[in-house]
Amino acid sequence: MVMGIIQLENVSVDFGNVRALDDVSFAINAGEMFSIIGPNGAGKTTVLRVIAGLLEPSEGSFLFHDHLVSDINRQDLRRQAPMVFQKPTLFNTTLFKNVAYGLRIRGIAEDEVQRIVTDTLDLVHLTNLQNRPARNLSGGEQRRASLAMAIALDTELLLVDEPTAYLDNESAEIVEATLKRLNSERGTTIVMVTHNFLQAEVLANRAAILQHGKIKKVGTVSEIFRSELDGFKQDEFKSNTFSGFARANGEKAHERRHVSIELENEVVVEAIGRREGKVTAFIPPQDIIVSKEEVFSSARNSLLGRVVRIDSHESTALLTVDVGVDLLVQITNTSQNRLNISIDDKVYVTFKASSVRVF
Amino acid sequence: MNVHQVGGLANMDYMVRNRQNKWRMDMTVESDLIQITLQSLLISGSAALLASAIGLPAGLILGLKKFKGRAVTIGVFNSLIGLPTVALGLILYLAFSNAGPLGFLGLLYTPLGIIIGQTILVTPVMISVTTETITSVDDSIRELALTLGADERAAAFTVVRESFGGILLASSASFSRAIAELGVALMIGGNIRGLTRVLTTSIALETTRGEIALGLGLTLILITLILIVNAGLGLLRKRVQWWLWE
Repeated sequence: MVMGIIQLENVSVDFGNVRALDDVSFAINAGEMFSIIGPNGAGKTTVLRVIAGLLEPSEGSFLFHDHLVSDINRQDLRRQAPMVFQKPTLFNTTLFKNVAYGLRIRGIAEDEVQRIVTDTLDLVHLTNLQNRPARNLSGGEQRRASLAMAIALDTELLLVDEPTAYLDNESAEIVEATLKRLNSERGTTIVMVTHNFLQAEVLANRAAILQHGKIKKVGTVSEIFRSELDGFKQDEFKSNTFSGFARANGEKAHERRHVSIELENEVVVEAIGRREGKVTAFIPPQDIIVSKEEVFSSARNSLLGRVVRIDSHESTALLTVDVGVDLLVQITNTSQNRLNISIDDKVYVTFKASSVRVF
Repeated sequence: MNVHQVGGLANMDYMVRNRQNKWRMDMTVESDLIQITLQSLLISGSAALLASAIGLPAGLILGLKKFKGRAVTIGVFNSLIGLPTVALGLILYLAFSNAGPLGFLGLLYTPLGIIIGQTILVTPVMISVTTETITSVDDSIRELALTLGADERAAAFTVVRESFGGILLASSASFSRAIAELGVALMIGGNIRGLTRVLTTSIALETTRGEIALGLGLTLILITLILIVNAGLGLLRKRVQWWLWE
C-alpha cells in the first residue's frame, strides 16, 4: 500500500489582497517523484514553500504523515523536507562548510560530516571544489552546490524549485541524473516545480498542473499529457521534442562530449551531452535561427526545410518548418516581415549543438 | 677675561637656555598631542563600543522581527542620524549643568559626560546601519537556514554571521562620527587641557588662536586615525567572518 506523505486540503494563500493559491488539494505518496507544472506566476513556488514549512496557508490544512502541520511541529517538518531554491542561495563560506551546515545543525559527529559531505560532493561532481568559497563558483556549480546541501541530509522528502533553470546542458544532466538516483536508490520522495513539460514527463511519476493559483489536474504524467487543458498550450510546450538515438561522435569541446542524435526520417542533429542510446531531444524554438540562404557559422546544426505553417501572435510568429520532422521556430514579427517568409518557402534553420537538450 | 669674552658667554648662555626652552616646549606640545590623541581614542572608542552594545541588539531586533510600528521606529532612527551635534550638546549641557535635572551626576566637563553624549549621538548610526544590513541580507539566507533544519535562533545567528561585514561597517561609521564631532565634546567637555581636550576641540582652539599650521597638523592626525581604524576593521572583517564559520 502506498503511504501518503503530504496532503494539502483546500489550501489557499493570500498575499495582501492577492490570492496566490486558491483551494489547492492534492496528495503526494511516499517514494514518488511528483512534479508541479505550470506557467510563470501560477503559484508553483508558493505550493512548494507551503510544503517546506516556510509559508503558512491562509486557509485549509496541510498534513505531513497524517499530522496537521502547525507552528508546533513546523520545525520537525523542515528537518524532513529541505528545499532547493530556484535562485541558488549559498552561505558566504567554503563549499564544504555550506554542505556541512545542515549536518552540523543536526549535531552529527564531525568524522561522519566529513564522510557525508565528501560523498555528496562526489555525487554532484564538485569534490575538487570543496575548499573554494561557494559564492565564487559558476552558476551551474552553485546550483549543484545548493542541491548538495539538501541531499547531504538524506531526508525522506526533497523539494526542488526549477532544478535546471538557466543551467547549461551538462549541469542540467548532472542535476537530473542526481534527482533520479536519489529517487530510485534512496527512495527519497521528490517534489519538483517546473514549467518544463518535457522535464516533468521524463523525470516524474505523477504531476499536478497549476494555473492561476488553482489545480487544473492531478494524475500520472501520461494522464496529464493526454488530457485537454483549457488555455494550456500543450502543443507549444511539447513542440520540438523528438525521440532519437544518440551516439558519441568522438568530438570534445572544452571537455564536453558531442553526440549525434538520429531522429525520424534520417534527420540528424548534433548535441552536447553524456547520454547515449535512446534519448529525447528538445530544441527550444527561440534558439533557432531561420534564414533564406544557408548560414555558414559556428552553429553545428543547419537544416533545409519548408515552411508549412505560420502562427502570428502579438509580437512573435511561430513558424512550423518541415525538415523531415516538424520544427517550431519562434521569431519576431519584424524578422518575419524583413525576411518576407510565407507558406511553402524554403528556409534554413540553424541552431547550436549546445541549444539541444537531451533527456 | 675681556669684555668680548664675557659678552660671548652671556650670549651662549642665552642660546642654550633658549634651546632648552624650545626643547621643553616641543616636549610639551608632543606630550600634549599624544595625550589629546589618546584621550580622543579613549572617549570616542568607548562611545562607539557602548553604541555597538546598545545598537547591535536593537538593530537585530528591528532587522529580524516584524512588529507593528517597526517602519516608524526605523524611520525615527534614520532621522536621528542627522541630529546636529551642537543641538545635542546644548540639550545635554542643560541636562548636566548644576541646575539641570541630571546635574547631581556631576557629568559636565568630564570625559564620562562626553562619552555619554557621543554614545547618544552615534547609537542611531549603529542601529540604522545594522538594521539596513540585516534586512538587505537576502531573506532567502534565513529561509535556507530554516529549510536545512535550523531553528529560528540558529537561523537568526546565521543571518548575523552573513551580515557581519555590514555590522562592522556600522561600528566603524559610529566611531568615525564620534571622533569627528565637535559640538558635544566642546559643550559637555569644555575643552579642559589634560582632561576633556580632544582632537576636534584642539583643532577649533588652535584655529581661533591663529595657529593654523598646528590646527592643520591636528586635522591630519584626526583623519589618519579615522583611516587607520577603518582600514584595520576592514582587514579584520574577512578574518572574523571566516572565523565565525569555524
